[in-house]
Amino acid sequence: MGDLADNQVQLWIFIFFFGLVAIMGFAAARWRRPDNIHTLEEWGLGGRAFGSWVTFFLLSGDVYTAYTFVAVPTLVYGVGAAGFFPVPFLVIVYPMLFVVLSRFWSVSHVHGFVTPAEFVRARFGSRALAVGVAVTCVVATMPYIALQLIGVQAVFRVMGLPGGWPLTAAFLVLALYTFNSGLRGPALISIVKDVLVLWAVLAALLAVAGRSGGWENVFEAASQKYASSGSTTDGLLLGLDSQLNYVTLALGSAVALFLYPHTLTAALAARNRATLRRNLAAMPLYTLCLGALMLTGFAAIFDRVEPVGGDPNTVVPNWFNTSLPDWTAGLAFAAIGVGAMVPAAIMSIAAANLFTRNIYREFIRPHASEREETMVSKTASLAVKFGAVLVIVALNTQFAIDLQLIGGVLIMQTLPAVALGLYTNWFHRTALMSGLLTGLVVGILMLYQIPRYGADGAVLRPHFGGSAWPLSNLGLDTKSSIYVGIVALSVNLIVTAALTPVLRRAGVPDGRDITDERDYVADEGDPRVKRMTEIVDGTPAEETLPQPAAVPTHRR
Amino acid sequence: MVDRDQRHWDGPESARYGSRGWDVGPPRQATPEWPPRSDAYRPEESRDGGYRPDGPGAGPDPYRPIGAGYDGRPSRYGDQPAPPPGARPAWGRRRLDASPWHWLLFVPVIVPLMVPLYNRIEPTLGGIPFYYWGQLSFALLASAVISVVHLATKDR
Repeated sequence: MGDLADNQVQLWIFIFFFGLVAIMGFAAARWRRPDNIHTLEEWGLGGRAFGSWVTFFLLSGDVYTAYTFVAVPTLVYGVGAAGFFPVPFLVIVYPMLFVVLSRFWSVSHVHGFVTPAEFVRARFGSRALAVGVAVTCVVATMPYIALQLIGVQAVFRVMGLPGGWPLTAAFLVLALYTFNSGLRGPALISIVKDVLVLWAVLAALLAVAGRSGGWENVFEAASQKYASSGSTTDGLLLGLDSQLNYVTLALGSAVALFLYPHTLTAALAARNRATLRRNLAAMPLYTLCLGALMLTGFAAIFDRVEPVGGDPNTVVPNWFNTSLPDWTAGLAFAAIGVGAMVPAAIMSIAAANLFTRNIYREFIRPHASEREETMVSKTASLAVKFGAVLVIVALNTQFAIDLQLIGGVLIMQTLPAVALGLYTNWFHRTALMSGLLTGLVVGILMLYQIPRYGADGAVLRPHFGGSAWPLSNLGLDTKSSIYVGIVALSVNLIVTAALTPVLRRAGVPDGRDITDERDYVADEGDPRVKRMTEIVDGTPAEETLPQPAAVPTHRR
Repeated sequence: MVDRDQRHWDGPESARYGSRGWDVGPPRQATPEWPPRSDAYRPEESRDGGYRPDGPGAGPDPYRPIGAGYDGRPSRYGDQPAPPPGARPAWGRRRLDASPWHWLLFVPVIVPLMVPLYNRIEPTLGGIPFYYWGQLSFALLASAVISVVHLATKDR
């Protein structure tokens, strides 16, 4: 535990920015004020009208979270090269998103979808599958929210604050302005967050480069540490045995990131396809910021910074605290604090929308009015956030990390229905459901089989000790391991693809696809999207009615 | 494995959405109310972003299935019967946004996954091993490639 008396400057800077962000969060409700905020379009998607800049901040707030800023440099500090996987992951994800997200944007705007599960419902004509996807998404997202708290907790520990009430107070403020402003809140706040992050990154780079010896000495020290550690998995470069896991982890994380509902929520809030595509071209540059922060993990080795109070996540905040001026450290802490608020808000909105659209309205109150729907979403977002606080404060942080590990594997299993579904409706809905369930079961079983080892090789915990599944489980004579999510997803895809022709030949009824290929390329200004624009502006646009099919054709 | 969606009705989907690939069979009976009244798309009347003009107040619903086991449970998508066997679009159907430029996007996906390409210390950049600065430079590569593809495919 740090000493609060030594960290007065940091504490006040943190409080200042937190207060600023809280005020902005509440004021955001008045920003581009709609006629009626009591619709899910307005509360949950900010009116679907964010321009390029706001979308950039929203997406970056979504992807580069507080937990990333804290945990990833910690990983680099611990194992070196193998901990660098977020960089390739956050590079390869953008070309993938570039092709897929614009189709998702279009079809969602034509049909008014707010969640990926609604799309699945329309594409494959199956309520069961849609609920399966919705539940998977919610279960996978909730621990992610709790992880944001872990990032804030690490900062609090370094500053010497106790964990319980300040954390609860911080999240209470967050919960209230999310309730009030919806997606407009995090959109506005993420601007502050990105300015703070940029400053922290510059300061860290300057601090290391300005020293005698610069980065050369830093890597020299890191190399010595890994050489003397006795573990074979660490080092400045990847060992042969670590490469498969590195590649599959990067690929799997990229797939998972696209499927997380909060990524889709931020994407849907964009004004048009070009906004989205421009942003995806710019986003890899943000990865450079994250990469620079990850290198501070090595600087922490060089400066012999130790974690505070046994919490490994405090290494990098502690390095900021000891190696940078007080006020810069305070800004960095504020960056992490605000960086937690933005994704936590978006994630809770995404989870709440899934609940409202795919469970509440589908099964409980099909006739819910828009106002009621928005109320349900707001309440659900509160519940989700308090659930996260409860997990962290009452249970323990390791539990949240385990859940997040499982969540990443779970969310990947929605790939055939959501991502491939954007390209084809060839899959049979029952096959998709079987694939989803098989993938979930296989993923959880494999995670269960993975023990965690201590530094001396002793088993610390027998199950859920990581996501790297040793290939020796298959009887192969190798020390290589593979990311569980990729294996589970492969099984899922095989089951789905194999069952589809079987079910179709057996005459099992197919679902009906109510989307049209033209829906996937519609853009702002397209008559198909016009109805959406009306809702956003509140003013009826010129009527453009869809033309009835005068002559239904047999073939396109 | 028949789930609850499987209730057949003869809602004129084709009238609502235009013709589809698997829309075989005779043209469906045109509904008397087509086109829907011009106020049918008022946002407050349409439940789900307005793509289905059957919100309360839109007058008699031209699309409500008659008879056909519709139990009054409103569904946003309608109850969806199976398309005729064999009429389903298969893989390989040409997509409207297909472009050869998209192949270029494989470069920034494949390159960062080729570990032997960058798993080395030399050349260092300002003391940073190639493993680290090389992977970071792939971010610039991705940004450049996506920008090129975006500009090349923008006007469609």
